[in-house]
Amino acid sequence: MQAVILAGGEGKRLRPLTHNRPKVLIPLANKPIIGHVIQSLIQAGIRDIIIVVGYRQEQVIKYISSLPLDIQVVFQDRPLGTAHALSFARELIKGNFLVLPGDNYIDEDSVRAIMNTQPDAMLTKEHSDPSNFGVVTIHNGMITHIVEKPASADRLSVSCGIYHFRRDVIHSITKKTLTEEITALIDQKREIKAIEATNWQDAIYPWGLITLNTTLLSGIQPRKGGTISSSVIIEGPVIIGSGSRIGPFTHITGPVIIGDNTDIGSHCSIGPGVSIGMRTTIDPYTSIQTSLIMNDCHIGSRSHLSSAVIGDGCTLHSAVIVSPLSGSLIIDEGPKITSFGAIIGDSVFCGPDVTIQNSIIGTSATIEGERTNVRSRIIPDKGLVI
Amino acid sequence: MCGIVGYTGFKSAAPILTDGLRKLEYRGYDSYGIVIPERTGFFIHKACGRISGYIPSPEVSSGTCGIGHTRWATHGDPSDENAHPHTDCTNSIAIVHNGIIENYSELKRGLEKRGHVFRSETDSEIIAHMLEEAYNGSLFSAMKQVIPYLTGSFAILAVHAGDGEIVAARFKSPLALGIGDGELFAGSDITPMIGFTNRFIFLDDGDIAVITPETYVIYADGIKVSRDIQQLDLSPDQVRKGGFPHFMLKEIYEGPDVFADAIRSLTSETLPEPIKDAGSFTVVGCGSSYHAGLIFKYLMEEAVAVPVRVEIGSEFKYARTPLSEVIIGISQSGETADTLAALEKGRCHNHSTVAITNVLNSSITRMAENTCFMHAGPEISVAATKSFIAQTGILMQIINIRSNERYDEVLGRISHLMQIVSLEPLTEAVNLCKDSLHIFFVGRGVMYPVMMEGALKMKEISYIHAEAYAAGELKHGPFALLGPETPVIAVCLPGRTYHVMISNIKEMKARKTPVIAIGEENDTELSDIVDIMIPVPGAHLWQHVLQVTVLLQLFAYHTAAALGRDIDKPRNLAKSVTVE
Repeated sequence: MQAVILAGGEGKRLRPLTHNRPKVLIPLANKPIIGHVIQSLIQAGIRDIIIVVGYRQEQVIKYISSLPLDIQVVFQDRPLGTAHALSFARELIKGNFLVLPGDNYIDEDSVRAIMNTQPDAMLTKEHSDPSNFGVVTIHNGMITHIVEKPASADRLSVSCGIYHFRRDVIHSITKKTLTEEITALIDQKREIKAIEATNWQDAIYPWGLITLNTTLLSGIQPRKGGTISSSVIIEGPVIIGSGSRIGPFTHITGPVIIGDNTDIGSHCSIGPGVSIGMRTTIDPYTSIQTSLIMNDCHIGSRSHLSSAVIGDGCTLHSAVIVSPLSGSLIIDEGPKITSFGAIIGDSVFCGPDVTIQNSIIGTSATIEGERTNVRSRIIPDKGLVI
Repeated sequence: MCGIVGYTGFKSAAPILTDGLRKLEYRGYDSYGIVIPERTGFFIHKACGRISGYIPSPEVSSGTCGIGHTRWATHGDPSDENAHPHTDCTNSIAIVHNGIIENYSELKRGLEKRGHVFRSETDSEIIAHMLEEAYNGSLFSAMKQVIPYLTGSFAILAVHAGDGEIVAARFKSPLALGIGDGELFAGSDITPMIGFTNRFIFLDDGDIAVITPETYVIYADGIKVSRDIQQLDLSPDQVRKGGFPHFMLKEIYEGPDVFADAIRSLTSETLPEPIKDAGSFTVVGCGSSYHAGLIFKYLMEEAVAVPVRVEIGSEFKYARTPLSEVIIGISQSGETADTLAALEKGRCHNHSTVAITNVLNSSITRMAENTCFMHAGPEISVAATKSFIAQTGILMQIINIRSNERYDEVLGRISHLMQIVSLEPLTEAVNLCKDSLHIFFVGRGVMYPVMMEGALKMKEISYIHAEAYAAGELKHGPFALLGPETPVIAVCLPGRTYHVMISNIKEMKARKTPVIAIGEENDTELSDIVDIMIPVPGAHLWQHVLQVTVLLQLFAYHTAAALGRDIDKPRNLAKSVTVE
């Protein structure tokens, strides 16, 4: 069985985190989302994998080439849509095949369920907020109707964007998106089965990453590398990468994953629900809960981070506080009630004694000044707050 | 600087040899050949050009022993006749050779006088004829008799028709054995053997080895010796393109990780003793390694005020330069003949020697007292990219340690900043430059050697004539060449040289020269006067050095790609220059 993973999109709604990387490369539990998709495919026994790349393609290829797998790569020249992306794999398709988005989490059981169903078929999932997805109407186990991103919708089944197609579909692509393509197939009276997914998750907005990260952390297998001081207390499943150092009297409560060559100072409290990338430094007396911190960051001492996503190469000085707060943010030209700590893009500099709540900080932004409070704000890329 | 490979075992040799040669192509790719002994005579396939396209057809000999060669022409044109393997007059001995036999013309005259007929213009063919004369039932004893007559450098593999035995000899050219299960390998380096075995022996100068499928025996000066077996765990993944169109692009994108690994590999405890308190340094390197040395000079002298001389390997060897306390030799492959000779010269004069190299067990590691490894992983593209980054990382870490680690913070951020800058779109700059005949690269201070490296990358892979100048030197001559057809790439970053760079750029613009500037993100003064502005973030000079390097590597890559050049294997070049 062949599988085509679509990894050409940017994931605009996850900006600023997708400023320097496509959505498929956002790390969850220290592994890019596309890595989780590939892992589920491999566990389900699929080895013939084709990946369509586009936005920031070199980085995607760099990640793929670091895996011990033979994966074929095809290039989408312009980002026109999912069906357009799939059409670039045309020459490589040898039989019936799967199509999956590279930026949604899918578990192994769901992959097995759809690959063992006769094509054509698609995975669906009941969702409490279906307005951001393709909403499907199912009759006798068959798809009868599909609407992309309806203005309003009740609790309904949505398309996971994962399909099992017969080979001929690849040659008859005429539309830009797969949703349009499915509609065209239904119009041609082809039957498309609906298969309920067991575990499929997508982060539409950046704060969704915090929940998704916590979910994926729950499945980790404990493993300890690096140098861990004898007075460190570790509870629950914890991964510590090689070359990392954990200082004395630090308390780690799993699930927590710490990447390679990361230094955590003394008297810190880390976890639960925390992933920290590579080459990051956390100074003493800092506490972090339910957060996702990427590579090459420096977090100062006496900081408290909760419900935060922090991009690559950020510097947070001492006593920075990030904590959740409910408030309203203008997203996609409309107000939204949100509740999280902070989404911080790459290379952000944040001075000492700053408090951030329910805010999105753009890439390379600077936040200075003691006792500055950033509450329910969106700071643009390279923005300056004094 | 050719690549050789040998196999004896139970599998069909031809596909293993051709695969192996493909991995050795970085050592030269003018012509190739393989030879497989048959009951009488040989199966020989050799041709001009690259091995990449050649797939041995089934009717090729199914013999399980053979040797192969990929050539970088030194003596004689790249042609079918001059391609290795070479055979003797009786067609019963075949050899492949990497290196140069310096006294070959004298030996050749003698052989011709005694009636031998030569079919090629190479120096190597004499070895086959000399073995023929000395052969008396044992290829090993023939080799033992012939070797003392040869001067120069060589790694030789020889086979005799009807045998499953390979005789290998090494002197000043690299040769490694791979120990498999019921099969043995020989090669210029271990890349052809990765995936078959992880146990290797690196032969010493003067060694002769006899290899059969089950055993190997190594002789030094005719006496049986044992050499350590080294277990190296390398996976074939490290030498795959993995979806990238070229190895070079893959290696550029590996740069940030390589830099982080390089600076971590050296600490105040592991810094070689002689470097810790030396009052002066001499750095020797060729090509990109020389440029890394120049960067070291600028930064070291500024940070620690310790004088640094930087010498080109091939010049240093023949010059009577006064030597400094410590001599640092930089070579990615560890086989660069000129750099090796420089270190040897230093050692002969009782100076401390330190090697910076990427290849474990390479010749330079045996030559130098101390070695710093780059940990950059195999570099396949002929144009050096990540190894240059790693060298610069190691050298910066040396300065950092010598200045009480006050640059720790600065170094720590570099790898992230390199990643950011690699996302910069360069299409406009590439379109401006790709049809020019000449491009000038100018910079001041440490940016001058950075630009030299940028110009080297450009000429290596795009074949556009690119030249680097210290910005102040332009007016002393090269200004005469400026005009609307010759674009200039200029680095103009905040610092002591900023204002004088701005006026230099204005002078160029006054001659209608198209200028591409690499400058600070928000510098509107600069972006107003130049044609194309490539912004870099970062705040510290050291960070800028690496960022500009990455930008120029990508710039050369995309220019060459737009021109459809053979990027990983540019014409006339080879990766490790093992001849003078």
